[in-house]
Amino acid sequence: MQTPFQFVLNTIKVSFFTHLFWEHFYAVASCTGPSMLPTLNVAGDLILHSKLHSRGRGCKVGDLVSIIHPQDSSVYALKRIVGMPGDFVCVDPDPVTGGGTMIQVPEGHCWIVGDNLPHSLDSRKYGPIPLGLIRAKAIARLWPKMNWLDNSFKPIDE
Amino acid sequence: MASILLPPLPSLRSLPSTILLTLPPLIFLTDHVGSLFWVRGRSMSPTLTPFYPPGDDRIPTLPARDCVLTTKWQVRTRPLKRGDIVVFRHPQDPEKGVVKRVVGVQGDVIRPRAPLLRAQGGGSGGGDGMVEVPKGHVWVEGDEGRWSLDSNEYGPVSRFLVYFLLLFLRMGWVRDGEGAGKRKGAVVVKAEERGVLGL
Repeated sequence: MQTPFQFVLNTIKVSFFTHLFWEHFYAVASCTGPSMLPTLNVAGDLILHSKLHSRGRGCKVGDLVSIIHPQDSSVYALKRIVGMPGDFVCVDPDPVTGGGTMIQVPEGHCWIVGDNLPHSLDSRKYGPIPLGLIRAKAIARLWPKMNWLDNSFKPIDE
Repeated sequence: MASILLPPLPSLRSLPSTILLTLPPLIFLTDHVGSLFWVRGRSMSPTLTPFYPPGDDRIPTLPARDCVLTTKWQVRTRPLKRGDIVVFRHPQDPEKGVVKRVVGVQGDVIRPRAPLLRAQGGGSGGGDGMVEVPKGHVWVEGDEGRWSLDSNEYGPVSRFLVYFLLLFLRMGWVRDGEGAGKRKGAVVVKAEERGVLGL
């Protein structure tokens, strides 16, 4: 039997450990918005985030990342990395011809795009996003259907 | 009177577990309240780590590295003011922390120091090398102009890369707006004067 004091102390210890795990290792969060259809639903999806990949550590092209919105810190945006520093990306590819202006992603930045191109506000509007704004990598969806969020990019054979 | 049950003092045997137990609260403090930093580099001289050339009369009696107290409280939500000294992640290397002073906020028109003028040529938002600080960004500069790699080098910095705000230097609390406008003529037009929402 614990005394009330020990109980409170243990609760505080557990809270700090949970906070540490949540902020620096793994966390679960829900996701809303149409910008990642069909990969993610409009509402109600629970996503597993890895905080070990914050600031772009270990992230590569094709990964889904959660970033601090460049103009509103209360909102996080979940999008896919299309270009890492040094890569050349096409700013807004024409749906028919696939052409468009090319831009080189500056050092320390990344180019992110939502999967639902017509309904996504991303790097095509805000420009390259600093890697320091990446706060987590989305590695799996837990609800309603459990699946790994894969890197679905494949190199094109010339 | 009931006696207070104090937690037992840690013995040597339980030292590793004590360290393990104090880490999470410390990390919570660093994540949400603030922390102490040691600053090095001369770009913020003489405000931080003053650098005096050899032979100068003002022999520094201060340590080579200044220790500063910073806060993380509401740093991402409260508006940054001109004159604030901030710690932010370098826009070109997110693993590096940089200490600089906020010289311009969003909406200000800045005249950069020479390097950016040369690099950018026309510049954005002005025909003669002026730079307009975009929404959600700040213009940062070191107090020691010639030895500072700052916004004059890499342009405006996204304000959410800022994660700490300096509160206390060896000289005392950082006063609001102190040192704002250190470089004369840096801010050409303030955001308020343009009618653009500045802060």
